Amino acid sequence: MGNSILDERLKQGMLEGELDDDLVINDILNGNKQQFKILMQRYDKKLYIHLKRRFFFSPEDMDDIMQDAFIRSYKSLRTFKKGRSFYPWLVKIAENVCKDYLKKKSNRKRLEELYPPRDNISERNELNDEVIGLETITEAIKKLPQNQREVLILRAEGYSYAEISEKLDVPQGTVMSRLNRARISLQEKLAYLKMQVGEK
Amino acid sequence: MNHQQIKDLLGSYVDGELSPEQKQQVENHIKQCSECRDLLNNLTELDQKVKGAVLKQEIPSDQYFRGLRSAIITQLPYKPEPSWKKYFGFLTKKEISAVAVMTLVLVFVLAIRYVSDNFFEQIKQPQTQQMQTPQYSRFLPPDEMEHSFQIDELPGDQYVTSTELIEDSGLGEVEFTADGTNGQEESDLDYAVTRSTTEITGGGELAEGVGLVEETEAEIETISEPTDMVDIENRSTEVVSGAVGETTATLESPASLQTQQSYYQNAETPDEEMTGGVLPSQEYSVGYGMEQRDKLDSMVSYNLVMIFGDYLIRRNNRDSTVLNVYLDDRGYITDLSIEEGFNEKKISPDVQELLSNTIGRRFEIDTMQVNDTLLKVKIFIDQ
Repeated sequence: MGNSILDERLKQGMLEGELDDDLVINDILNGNKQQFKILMQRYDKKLYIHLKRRFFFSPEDMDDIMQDAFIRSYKSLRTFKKGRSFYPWLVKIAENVCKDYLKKKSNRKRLEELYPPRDNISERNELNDEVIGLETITEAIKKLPQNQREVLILRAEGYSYAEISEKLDVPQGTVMSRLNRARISLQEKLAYLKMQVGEK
Repeated sequence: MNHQQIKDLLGSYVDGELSPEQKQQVENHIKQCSECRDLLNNLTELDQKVKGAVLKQEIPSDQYFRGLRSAIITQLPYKPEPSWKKYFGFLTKKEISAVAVMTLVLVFVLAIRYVSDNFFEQIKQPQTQQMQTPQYSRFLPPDEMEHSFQIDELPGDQYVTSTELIEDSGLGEVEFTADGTNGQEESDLDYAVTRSTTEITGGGELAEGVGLVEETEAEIETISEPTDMVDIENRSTEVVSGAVGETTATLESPASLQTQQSYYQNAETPDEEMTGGVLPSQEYSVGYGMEQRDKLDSMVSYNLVMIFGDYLIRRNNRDSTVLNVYLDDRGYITDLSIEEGFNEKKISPDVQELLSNTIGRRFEIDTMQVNDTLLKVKIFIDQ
């Protein structure tokens, strides 16, 4: 695969960044596996941030997820429709990976609930206000319904209602109401958590 | 605007998304309503918390991403979505496959040292002590292999070739039918091939002790006096395996020799002087394992590397376990089971867990080989 179109273009002085995704993908499909690095290079950080903000995975989980996401997208690269932008497609795959991951995790959790480790209770006593800070807010956000969480996170990322409505293809009124509902339920969850900790 | 309406606008007020008039109204209301004031404070605080939680996530360094990329690249298959249909395509015919469960025998190869380059070097040497009792020759007792290997269900044309071989050499015909009536013969074939490779494995070590080629030849000739011929003629499959791996049996027929030679034309041609031009040397059987790159071939000859996601499992045949993999019509794994008679304990718990995770994944035989005697079997994670 030495003499791919891509290599030629590179020789002609084009920078990797200037090549459009379709060209790179074509090259990969022709067997030039290494070119997948270009795609990864372009999107891995962006994807990481996107997923991390939405799912709050630990770095270890993120490691697995990023690998899975890219490998899955590589394998199904033939299903990518050329002419569309690659990143949204990648995000979709990656989000599916995340959902699968969560499912797997919740299965495991259910098992743990059935057979709880003994020191669970003592651990809870150690909860204090500090822990409530970031931990509980992320826990509370994680528990929001997907559509509310999405809006909330986009908002936190600084998008305006109009931008969010365009991104998600929903009316602005919906954006607003989802945000309101998200905030109300967040407050309830936090209040509940605080109460629980206060009791201990 | 009443109290409730204002309350609903507070969030948007915090977000700065209200029109100037709405904003004015909210501000006016707040001055009078302590409940809304508290709520607004709460919302502002919450907004900060959410922003903090969302935005202050740790993002690893560029170095991390570099490492990640290399890690991913090494795990990628040769090409995107290698088409399993190429090998299992016939299964998509629903009438055949809807009910059909495909059973494959995957034999794990244990102990990496036997798969190392060292091993690879060893099996290339002329095999001399093949006639001595091989240490691990009873790899898979044929009776235990029953049902575990349905040869005709396997993709590829290796079996066709085998049959041709039998026909060409006039040694009888073997039909590999779908109903499994020839299960025993199939097992025999599998067994024998397996066995031959086993012997090769053991052989390499012992070969060093036997320096002289002449000695070798003499030895082979002595032992190859057709003591086994009757047995072999009666069981044609075994003849095939003999031709493949056990060197001696079929040699008397020049035709069969011819067939073998063309069959293994890619194999290293044995030195005529060494073999006396009559005996196919052990290199033929080595050639079988090494030169026949057909996926199936490798499968029959037992050396498998299984790759589950990131995991690479290698096992030596001594402690091999026969694993049945059941696939649905699309090539997805529906079930896995350890063949009866094989000790489940040989599979370590982590591997067991790994195996249980493969259910629902796509099964595929990959053309790439780790080294010449190995086959990669991949189980894919996508739907």
